[in-house]
Amino acid sequence: MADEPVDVLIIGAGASGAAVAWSLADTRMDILCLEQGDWMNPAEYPSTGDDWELRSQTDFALSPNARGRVTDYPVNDTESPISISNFNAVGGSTVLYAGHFPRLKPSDFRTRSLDGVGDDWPIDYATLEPYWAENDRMMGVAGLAGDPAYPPKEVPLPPVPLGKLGETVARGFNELGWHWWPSDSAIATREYQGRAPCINLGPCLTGCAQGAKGSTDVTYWPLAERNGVRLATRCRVREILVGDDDMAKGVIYHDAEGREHRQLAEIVILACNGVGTPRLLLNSASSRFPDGLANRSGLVGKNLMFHPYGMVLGLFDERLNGHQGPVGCGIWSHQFYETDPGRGFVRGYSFEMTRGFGPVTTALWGFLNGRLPRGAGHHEAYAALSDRLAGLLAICEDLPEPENRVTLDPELKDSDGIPAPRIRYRLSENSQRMLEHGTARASEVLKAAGARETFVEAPLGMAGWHLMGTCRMGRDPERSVVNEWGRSHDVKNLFIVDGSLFVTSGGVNPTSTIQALALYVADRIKKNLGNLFD
Amino acid sequence: MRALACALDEIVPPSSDGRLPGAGEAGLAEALAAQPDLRPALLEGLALLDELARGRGAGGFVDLAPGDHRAVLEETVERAPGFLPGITAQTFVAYYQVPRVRETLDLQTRPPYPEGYAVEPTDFSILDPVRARERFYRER
Ligand SMILES: Cc1cc2nc3c(=O)[nH]c(=O)nc-3n(C[C@H](O)[C@H](O)[C@H](O)COP(=O)(O)OP(=O)(O)OC[C@H]3O[C@@H](n4cnc5c(N)ncnc54)[C@H](O)[C@@H]3O)c2cc1C
Repeated sequence: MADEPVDVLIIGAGASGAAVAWSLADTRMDILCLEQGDWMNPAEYPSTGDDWELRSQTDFALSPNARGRVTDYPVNDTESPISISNFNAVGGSTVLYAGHFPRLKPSDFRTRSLDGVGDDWPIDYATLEPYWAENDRMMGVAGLAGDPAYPPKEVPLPPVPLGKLGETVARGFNELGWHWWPSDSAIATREYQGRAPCINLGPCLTGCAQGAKGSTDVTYWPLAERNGVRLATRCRVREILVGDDDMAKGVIYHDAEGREHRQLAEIVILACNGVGTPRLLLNSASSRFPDGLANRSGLVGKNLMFHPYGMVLGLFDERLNGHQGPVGCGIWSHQFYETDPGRGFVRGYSFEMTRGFGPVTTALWGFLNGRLPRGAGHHEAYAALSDRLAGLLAICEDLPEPENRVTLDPELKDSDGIPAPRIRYRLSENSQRMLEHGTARASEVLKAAGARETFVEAPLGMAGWHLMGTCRMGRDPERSVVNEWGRSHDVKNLFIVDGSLFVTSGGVNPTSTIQALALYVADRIKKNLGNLFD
Repeated sequence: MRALACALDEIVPPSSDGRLPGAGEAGLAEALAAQPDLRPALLEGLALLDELARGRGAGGFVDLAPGDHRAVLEETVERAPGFLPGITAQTFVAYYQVPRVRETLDLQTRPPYPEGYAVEPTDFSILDPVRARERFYRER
């Protein structure tokens, strides 16, 4: 079946796809977005039911393999100590994300020049500044201006309250004289652009029933649609078609019934994330691009970066009201962000506070960590754990390494028979040392805050939720997949706007920067419309 | 079902002050047995418990002397290593969802939505030491 040709075809309706769609709507071009997932119904999110904790293991599991929805694709991540977390729906992975919303920093764009590792980005902090600001307004970001760890910036909404747990952890940082600050959070702390304010439900990682969390199904998409962008769900793109002139012609996709369609377009924009985008390019190999579309550099899928996470939990004597409030939004610390050669590694990490567990998760955690016995002593042990755990996550900068990569699995396929991605990833020496440093410092903070014991998990196995680097941007076609504004070096009407673009990862959560990049690429497309393919 | 309830009471016994029920007493045997994916492993495990009890001269697991249930449960580890950890995890998960248990422990018995929780506003004077700091990121 062939559908009517469009001017712009966006693939993926997640963080970046939504932002680019909204921005390009200004042009009044005919814009269509194809998304393999559905619209989510917040009234059905787990926090609306008694089994809210259990559903984080089933239909709202972080891993697509555990979740196994028909809208998901499987990922072979058995060769990685860190497994992939994502979500496939309108809103993409922002449906599950915590909304912790830091920006990269000036030094992140120049790691080669400053520290002799990774590569410099073809753009800098100042280039993205207006786009971060615009994105903060669109997503509804809460926080507090004045953080000495960042260049000055405005924050649209007041910060998320720290709660007893956050104040306890903050005192630990103060005790040590270390930096901390209320996190920038994509959480509406008061009514904002039609979104209800946060009511501290807690389980943000299974979707926000209140609609206060800035997932793009409730931020960008309603506006983009109102401005004329069409969004078609349950449309899974199998491959991008390319002509003899090396220009993308459109795509082949499968609808919900598995039927094949051909959608032609003048411009194709990929927003499928750091795993989905290289997968699609590799699945689009042809005689002109035998190693995958837009892959004459050989770099599609290479340099996968995750941010290895070290999680430290502190056990306190007092109750902390820990599961009340956005789970991953409270405090960040950038005390150990910039390179200090004395630490035994280059680059650095940030801390993100996490709130406590609900009753069932506490019991399971206690069981799995040998802290909750059967039989005698059970009730005393549970009482000592219940609502008494607070966490700090060390988010470590992951350096780009070509061996860490996404390829196609020779056997595994999704429900439409499309080859699934295969992940090969190992932790570098540098990451390992950074994790050790980060978890030791996190333990110090929690102890200074009054924890009587700490528990470390590093790397955190489930934390493959930041997917970056697999189609990096750059000026040199030999050393990058797209140019400095997201256009493929090889296919001049093909753009990438998602986390694949990252040249280096920084040591903070990436989504604010992913979306700023998407808005920046959209702006460059708009400015260059007259000679876009030159 | 009696054998299962008896095993569950060994996994989570009643609290010594009598405020919290044992997992069997809380009615979890029926709840676990009703889960189709658990059923085969449960039936197999219960058969093993009876067999081990008979080896000790009892008619079945429920007929063991009170002190022996725990020992027999632990004995299953050799022949069915997954049974006890599996049933323990399931029991813990189910137990902490029982409204009576949650109430007694002063844990919320309702889902988070729609009421949510009131969190006190933060007095950000706690940030004063950090506010006093110089900027400390590398400019470029
Ligand atoms: C549990 C969890 C917690 C997180 N917490 C944070 C956080 O606190 N802060 C932060 O900054 N980041 C966080 N993240 C990461 C954040 O969600 C991602 O960085 C962000 O969503 C990536 O944006 P993207 O546009 O690159 O991809 P995504 O948002 O993943 O969107 C990609 C979309 O493309 C669609 N797609 C893929 N392939 C195809 C195809 N072939 N055809 C059609 N559609 C396709 C997918 O279905 C998906 O909807 C978290 C992620 C998870 C999973």
